[in-house]
Amino acid sequence: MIILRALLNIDRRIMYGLLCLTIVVMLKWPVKQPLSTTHAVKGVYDAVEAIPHDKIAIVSIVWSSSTMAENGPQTEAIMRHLFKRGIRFAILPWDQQGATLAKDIAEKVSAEMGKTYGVDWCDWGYRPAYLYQILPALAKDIPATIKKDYRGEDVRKLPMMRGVKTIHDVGLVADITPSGTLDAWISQIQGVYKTPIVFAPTLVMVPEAYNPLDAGQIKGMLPGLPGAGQYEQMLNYVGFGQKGSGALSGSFILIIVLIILGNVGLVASRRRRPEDGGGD
Amino acid sequence: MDAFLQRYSLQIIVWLGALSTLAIFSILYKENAFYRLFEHIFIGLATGQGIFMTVSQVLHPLWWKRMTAEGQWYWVFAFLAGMMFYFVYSRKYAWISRIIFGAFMGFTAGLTFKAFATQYVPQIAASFKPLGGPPSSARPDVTAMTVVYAVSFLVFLLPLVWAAVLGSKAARLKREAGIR
Amino acid sequence: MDFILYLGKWLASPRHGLALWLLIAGGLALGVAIFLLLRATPGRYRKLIVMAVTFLAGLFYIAEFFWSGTIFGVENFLSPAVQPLGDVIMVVGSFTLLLGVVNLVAIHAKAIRAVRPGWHNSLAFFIAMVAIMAAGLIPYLQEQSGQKGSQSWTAVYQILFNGMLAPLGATMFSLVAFYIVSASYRAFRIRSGEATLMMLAAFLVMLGMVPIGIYLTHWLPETGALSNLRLERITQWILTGPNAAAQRAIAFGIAVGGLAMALRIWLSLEKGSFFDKQ
Repeated sequence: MIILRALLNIDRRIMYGLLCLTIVVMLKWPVKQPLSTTHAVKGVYDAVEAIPHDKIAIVSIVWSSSTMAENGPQTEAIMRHLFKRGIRFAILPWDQQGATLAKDIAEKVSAEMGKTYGVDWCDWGYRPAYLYQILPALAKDIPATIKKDYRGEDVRKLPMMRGVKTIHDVGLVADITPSGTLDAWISQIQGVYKTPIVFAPTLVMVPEAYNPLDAGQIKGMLPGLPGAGQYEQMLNYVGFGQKGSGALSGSFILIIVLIILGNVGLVASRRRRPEDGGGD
Repeated sequence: MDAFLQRYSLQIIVWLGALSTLAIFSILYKENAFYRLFEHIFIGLATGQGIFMTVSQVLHPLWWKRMTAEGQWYWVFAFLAGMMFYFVYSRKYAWISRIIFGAFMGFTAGLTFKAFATQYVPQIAASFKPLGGPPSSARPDVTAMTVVYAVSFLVFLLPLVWAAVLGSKAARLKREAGIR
Repeated sequence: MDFILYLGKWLASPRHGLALWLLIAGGLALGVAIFLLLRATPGRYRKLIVMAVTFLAGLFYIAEFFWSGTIFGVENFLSPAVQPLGDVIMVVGSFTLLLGVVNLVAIHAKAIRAVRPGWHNSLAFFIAMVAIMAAGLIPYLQEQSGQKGSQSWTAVYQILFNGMLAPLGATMFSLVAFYIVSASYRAFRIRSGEATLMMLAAFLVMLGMVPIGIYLTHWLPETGALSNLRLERITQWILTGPNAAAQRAIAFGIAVGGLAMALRIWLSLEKGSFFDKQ
């Protein structure tokens, strides 16, 4: 009985230790688990497949090191798919750390897939996150709004930017973000010019994203790390999305077990004090 | 130094990364000086990175170079407008900063109207689904529902204008009557 | 009219050498004159200026959006201004970069000057800030002036960014995971019917999103009535059905509130410290 009641108040440090151990073990010795592809993830895949070759894609980066564990694999998966299809894309970072992190991912993937900067992809460089004001300008004239890439070179001179004038030359926007920037993309771009948008949020933001998904305002969504894992599976490569999803599974199971233990403790304590109506 | 950094930078990155991770996780056990030190280093690095990125990717290429190398002298007014923000630190002239803050708030407020029409009105339309009707893929084309959007928008907008006007009138009457 | 157009063209044409610097100096002098003029503005007109600027700024985007095509034969002349305005907002907005930094610097400088407990942390803040700035800006400026960027400084930047900033940011945010474990252990207790329902929904959504949950019911058929009992299907139903409807209702509430707020800000009807002060 004492043990059962002790379950009601497990020391937080024990829980922290268990979580740490679960993640380390699951990352070190990953267990192959199935990932079924959801409708939302398939929507992203189909949207990338539907981009015409004469249009470019914009990869909007709003994440920083804080959420790179989730947004990093999403970014890599989308970039790989774009490279695989031969769709030119531009990175548009709105975060001061994300600018460097996303560029590093693009450099790594492009080197691996034999792609060239300026021809297959480019980095428009960090822009302050006044999305609501900058996006209407971007839609009307991309080279005039962006002007220079991250190296300070004129974007008009990049081979991949030839013929790219307005938002009508953009076949897809991928908003990879842990914050509320999707609203700006929908209201200033998709709602006005009907440019397709796909969304890659962190897992915690997923419940609210079903609203624009259902309204057809976004073509698809990668829900956090599992979303990246599913996308990796569709692209036939193993990245952190799949490896990390195992650790996430372990953590969720741990949380569920702890909640059950807490409730067992609660029931035990109620049984012991029926005279005062139970409860703690 | 050059050769040392080139040779060992990866090892340094790995060790520093491990040290930083442990320092931050140490707070989970209890508050300690090691955590505080690395917390301050993190704030310093994030601030420095912010300044570096803003200067190297926006202010230098898009403002300074355009003004000096490309001869577009009128970009000096962007500097003057930007400096207006800093009057916020002066008690006497803080109201000057409110001009530029007001402009930015005005821009955002103006864009909110556009956002309501382009973002939420389609969602309102998507909410009207026939009970037990066709699947979502058979939804009517949203572009064909412009009239519905316009009406919905006005239905939402008009009471708001009315409420805003009434609200300010009530506040004025309250003020005049000396009610607090 | 011709004269105004000519003047506009003359002012907008690119300048170089002495003419450029004279015009920049002229612009700065004009700025000082405007400041002196604002300083001399009587108190009762100050609020009016702020209100007028706020109203005009909001009016621009509202008029530009609602004025589609041609109205009474007049073409929308605001649309061509959207791009340059966005450009200006981006640059002017970037000048705010030091707004927060000024406060941080002031607080930490004070701590070091007064040798307060933990002053060495403030010193570490300054060293870290200056180090990453220097490591980033030195090679950048070298490259801009046509030289080769210093390899050593680039390596230092890589060390500071990848070795410290990135892991520190990631670890700092990951602390939330630990607190969530502790919080959900304490919060999800079967105290009432609603709490139990919330806990069950949380269980199902958590499990349905990760591989292990999908594995638990993978033996059920993929089609037919029984397939609806697969965990990922239940999760999808919760998310796209009850959740989306509730989220949408909340979103509409926020949107209507936001619209009302925008209207009050645009018309300067909002009361509070910002709008009431002169």
